[in-house]
Amino acid sequence: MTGKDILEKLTDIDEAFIEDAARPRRVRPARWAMLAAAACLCLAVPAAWWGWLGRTAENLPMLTVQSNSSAGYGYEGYMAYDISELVNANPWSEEAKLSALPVYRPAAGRDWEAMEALLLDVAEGLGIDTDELEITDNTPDEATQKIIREKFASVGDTVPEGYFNPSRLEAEKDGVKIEVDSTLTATIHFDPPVSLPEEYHFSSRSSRYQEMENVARYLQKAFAGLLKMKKPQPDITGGDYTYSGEQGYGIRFFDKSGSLEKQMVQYNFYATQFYPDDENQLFLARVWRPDLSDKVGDYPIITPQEALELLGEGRYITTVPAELPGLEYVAKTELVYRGGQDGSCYIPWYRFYVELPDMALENGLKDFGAYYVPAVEEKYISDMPLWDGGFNGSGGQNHPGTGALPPGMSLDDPTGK
Amino acid sequence: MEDLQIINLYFARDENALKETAAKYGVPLRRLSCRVLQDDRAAEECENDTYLSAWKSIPPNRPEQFFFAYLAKIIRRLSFNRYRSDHRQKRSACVVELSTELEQCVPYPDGAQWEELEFSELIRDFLKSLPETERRVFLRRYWFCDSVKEICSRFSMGESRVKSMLMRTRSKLRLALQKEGYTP
Repeated sequence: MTGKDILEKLTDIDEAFIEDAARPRRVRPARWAMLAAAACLCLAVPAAWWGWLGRTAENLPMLTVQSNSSAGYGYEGYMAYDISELVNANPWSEEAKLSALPVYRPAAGRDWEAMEALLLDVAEGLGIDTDELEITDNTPDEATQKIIREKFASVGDTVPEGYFNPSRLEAEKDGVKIEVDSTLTATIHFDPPVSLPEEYHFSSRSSRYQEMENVARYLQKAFAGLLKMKKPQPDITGGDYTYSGEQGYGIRFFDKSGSLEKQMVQYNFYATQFYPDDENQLFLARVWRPDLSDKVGDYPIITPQEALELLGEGRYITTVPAELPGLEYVAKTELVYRGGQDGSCYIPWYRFYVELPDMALENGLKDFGAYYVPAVEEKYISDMPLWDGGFNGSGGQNHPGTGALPPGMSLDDPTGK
Repeated sequence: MEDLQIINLYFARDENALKETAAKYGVPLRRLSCRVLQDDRAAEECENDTYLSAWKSIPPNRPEQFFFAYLAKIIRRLSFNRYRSDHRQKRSACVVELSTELEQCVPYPDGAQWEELEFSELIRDFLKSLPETERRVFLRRYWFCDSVKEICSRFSMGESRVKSMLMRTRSKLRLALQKEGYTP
């Protein structure tokens, strides 16, 4: 039997398959063009034309904003000598005039085609020849499955259905390993890590802002193919300190093209981040491209001042194990997206950085706790938060905030995902 | 004209059946034959032989559900038969290219003897197991003999994605053949 024999023998396959393959395919634009077009369409439309979009402000579905995710250890607080040290390139500012923002439902299930497309796109962006790139999934091999089955059997149990189902795609070539999971996050492992030229100091701790700006400029050029943004904006994010007084920053990029609403979506959802190891080398990168095709609607949002009032009324969630010390301690306001855990919607929130006077250190470092108020108008929220005096994980209405970072992402622990 | 109406013409032994068949399906049928034979004249002859074969086999066959597929199978078979008999000296670049790609699927080259029925059943199960798009891409390449560029255009995919998809499918087919224990 030869390849030519197979080619010939294929003639006699089921006619249903032939007809199906013969059917003309409707030409669709590339996935990202569709998303960009959808985002532009819904975000560029002024409030008066919501009806034209088919979802009027009157018939927007109610949202639930609180999830049952456990908070884990610790709370969301940022240490700095002054609030001005905490930086990022969030395109929103308090002077921005935004009347509505989109709310999205995260895609359910696994879209293997989209995962493969992302993997290939990332590989091409890194200059990898994808012609012979072998893509596998993380299904355990037979030997590993056997061991697992035996372990279950040893406790009188059987392997649950679907236990061995793959959850991500992988490909490896030329010292680069790319993994893509069902949230359409691509993780790129560089092994060996990539050394930057000597003049660049790339570290997440013990780094200075200027140094990271220089590194960002280098990475932007070196990885232009990976970024693929119309207007790549370096986001030197962080500036907070550890207890031992080390200040650190992360480097990510987002596309700053388009309207403010579009930039907000791009900033919060479609970033690329680079991570250094302890040797100041690039060892990891992440590319986020979640499926936001399931838009719930464009929701009217409240002003920062209105959100501040709600904050004062206790209508917030926080992981800080203390009640709001007072509005006079609010140091900074940001507008960010949160959600996605356990299938919850991606919703805009106001994040308030609140100085916690009782948490200040003797060396002068202040602690700024994060308090969140939904940015969507209250009338669309079925479970508006109300602080009830509880704290982290003990029954209070508080939930971990990842803020502008995509779900599961941590600047300090990029491999924790 | 709907396929059912054309089939009824065959049943009525109305020679307009052939005219209607050619009008509706002549282009894709000839294109398929041309891909294999790379010779317009030979492809035209295969096309005419296909209509003759259809005339002879309808009735009793009544392939109105998958009429195009019925015809396409005939012309594909005829084209490969012709290729074997006419091209002992000259080889079709398309057939060579596709055959070479499918060599990857052969678990035991040189000498494996497969029963026709077994292979058909295996291929059916294999194609059934594939995700829709992957199956369509595989068949457009190896059944319809489309070029990679044509497949890219048809499915709005990039070239690397199509090539990668085909490579994975070929690997899966190889695995399927190995599992069935085809031995030399």
